[in-house]
Amino acid sequence: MYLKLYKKTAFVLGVLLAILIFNACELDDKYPISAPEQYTKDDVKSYADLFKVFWTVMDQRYSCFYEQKRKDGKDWDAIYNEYYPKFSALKTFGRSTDDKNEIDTDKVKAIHYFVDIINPIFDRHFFVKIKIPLNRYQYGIFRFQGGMKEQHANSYMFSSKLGYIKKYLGNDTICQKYTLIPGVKKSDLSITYLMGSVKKNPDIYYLTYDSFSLYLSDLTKFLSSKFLNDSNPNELGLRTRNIENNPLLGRITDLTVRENVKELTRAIQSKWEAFTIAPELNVFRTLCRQFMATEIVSDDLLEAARSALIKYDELPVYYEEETYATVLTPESKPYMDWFISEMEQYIGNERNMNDFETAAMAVIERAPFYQNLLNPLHKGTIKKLILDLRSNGGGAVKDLQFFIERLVTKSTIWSYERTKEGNGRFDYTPWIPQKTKPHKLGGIPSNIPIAILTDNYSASMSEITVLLLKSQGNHVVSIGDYTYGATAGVTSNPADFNGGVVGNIADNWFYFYMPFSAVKDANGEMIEGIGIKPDIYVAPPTDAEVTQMENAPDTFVDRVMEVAVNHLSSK
Amino acid sequence: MVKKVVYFFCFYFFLSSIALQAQSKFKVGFDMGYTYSNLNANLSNLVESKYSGDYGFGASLTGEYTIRKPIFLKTAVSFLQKNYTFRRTGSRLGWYTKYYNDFLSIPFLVGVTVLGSADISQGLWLKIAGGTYIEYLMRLQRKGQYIALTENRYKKVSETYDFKKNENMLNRFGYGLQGELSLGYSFKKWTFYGTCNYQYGLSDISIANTNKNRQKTIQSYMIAAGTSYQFN
Repeated sequence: MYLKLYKKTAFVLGVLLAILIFNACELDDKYPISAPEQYTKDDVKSYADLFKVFWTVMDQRYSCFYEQKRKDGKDWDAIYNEYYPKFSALKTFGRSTDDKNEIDTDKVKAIHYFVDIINPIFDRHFFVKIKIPLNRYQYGIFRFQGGMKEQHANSYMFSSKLGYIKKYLGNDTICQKYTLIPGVKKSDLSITYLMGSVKKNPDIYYLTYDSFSLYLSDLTKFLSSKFLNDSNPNELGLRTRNIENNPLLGRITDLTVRENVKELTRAIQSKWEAFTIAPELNVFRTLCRQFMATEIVSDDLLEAARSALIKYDELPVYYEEETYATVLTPESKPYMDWFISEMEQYIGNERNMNDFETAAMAVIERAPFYQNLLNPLHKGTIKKLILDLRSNGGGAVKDLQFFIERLVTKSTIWSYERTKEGNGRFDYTPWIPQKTKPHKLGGIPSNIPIAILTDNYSASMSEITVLLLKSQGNHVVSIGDYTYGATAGVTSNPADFNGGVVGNIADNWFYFYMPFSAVKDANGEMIEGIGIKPDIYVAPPTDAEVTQMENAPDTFVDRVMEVAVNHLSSK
Repeated sequence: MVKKVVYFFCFYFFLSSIALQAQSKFKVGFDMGYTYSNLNANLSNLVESKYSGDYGFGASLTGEYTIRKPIFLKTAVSFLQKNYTFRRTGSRLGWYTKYYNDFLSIPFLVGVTVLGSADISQGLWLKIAGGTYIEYLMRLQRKGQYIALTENRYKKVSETYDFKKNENMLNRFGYGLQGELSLGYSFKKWTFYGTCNYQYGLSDISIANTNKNRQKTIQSYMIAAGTSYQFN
């Protein structure tokens, strides 16, 4: 009897162990989960589907559910339980069989529901555009964002500032706009800045810019080209013998034309080769190397860039057929095409002359930013600074490395950032401390009094700048209104952080602009949706002041600017 | 809270040992060894992301009661490190988080001696056992490396998880199934043995998740060596 019991028990336990061990090998992805990018128009056939895709994308990628729950007490499951039945009750969806009056009624209800859901979202970067049927044939795109029901204070719009702020500045005022490519004025990506010393107190230097694209001023990107290190230009490239022995040249039957073609191309080639070792270019190369070691734009560098460009502009334009008009025949054309192609390879790629042209133009175009701001900051000749970030909505993080770090003298924690990690709604990384670091070459020699001007439209990188610079000490004050409260990070590649979405979802039913992270300040306080409290509060402009700054800039008094100048003058 | 749980488990084990010892069919043992754990999670909607297993330390104070030869009941109070790592792979290699989870675990097992006889005074034996366990997450430490975007570099971070805030909505209490295989040699009252066990978590590590497809559970192996003493 014991033996039977023993065998049965052993069998049962053996089976149990086997089940457990095989369970260990269970495939993780038995039921694949749709990533937001995998949704298509087939997933959106009704308002219920529209809501479900929206809810699911948020559920998978929104990075602040913990803080959101603390703020309004409502969790995301409760949103689903409340609104899925409501959206399901909307029976139309712009179908040809739907009643047109009902379509309109459902549209109004759907917009109302989305506003109710999205308005409490406190992430101020976040917005979503949703396609909603207007009638049987048309759709409307509606934009929803956190805090969309809130009223925002008036702002000092950048275009208005450009109109009146010059009266506060001296004769050294500079206002420039440029794009990524030197010489090109029109582009989606550009920077406009205005700077100069303050008339009332020339020790104070003023700087404002429309967005964090100051990195477009960065000359190191242009001057790190290979042409700077081209020490032996005669080693490679087009050789005279390639012209002499070229079979295409031999196919030109008219000996006079053949000789003229040969002489013309040899002349063009030798002029370009001579330029690659011209003294003007060598001086420019040498001074560029000096710049790369110091980031100082000297007058000599500026002059060398101009001289070399003048020499460059005198060269024959080898890539245009007009240059060869006198000898161009059907017989000579194949040779000319070969020559242009070889010259392009030689001049453009091997001798990097295209890079030279860009670099020289960049030096000329960007020199004022270095010579009037960056270099004096490094030398210590700028004693006090007003950094006007009012109405600056942010921009690229790389501006921190290019410009803001130049105002940093000590390494200290200025914020904490956290991203999503795993698949759960609350799967977050630890809070990652963000530290300041002084600029490696062009930083200020010691702290100077800095006043950062803010208003309710100072957002994102403007707020990051305030947090970062205020971590340096009490010599930095912010003056004006509360900032916007949009500090979370946004990236065009959210897959790098397992959170956030930027782009179209479900074949354009949605456009999401969702940050991938959450940020809190050095004290551990979330400022998202709240904004940074200024050290010196100055009430935002009234409606009358806004009208005046736009229409009568000469008589407009900028109260924030006045406070900043008085504050810095007392330091 | 942690103290209360520890007191509870100690009291539970104390009472169990008194009760069972009185029946003179009771063994008390201690073993320690290595654990290997992983998180069972569905990451199919994430790019270049995976959880991988990690090693840890484990120690158990065991009690075993023979109901009727060769069947026995077994329980224990175990300290188990159930460690695992989240990491990005491929082109995103570099970001990782190592999870060091310290669990207090109590299994309830029924087993049978399948080779030899465990209660003979001397000799070799082999036992298998299976059952359930409950556990409590006492401490979680995370060590990782992340992209500090504003610094444009990877950065190492180490922290002890704050269960008061519990931002990740972790569930400290868990349960699951456990299987165990032991091989030992008895010298009168003393026995020396090696054991390997497997814990298959059934409970979600998140208290907030309502989606079964996104459930995350821990699996853990332990291989250990120890000794036990038989009362009679």
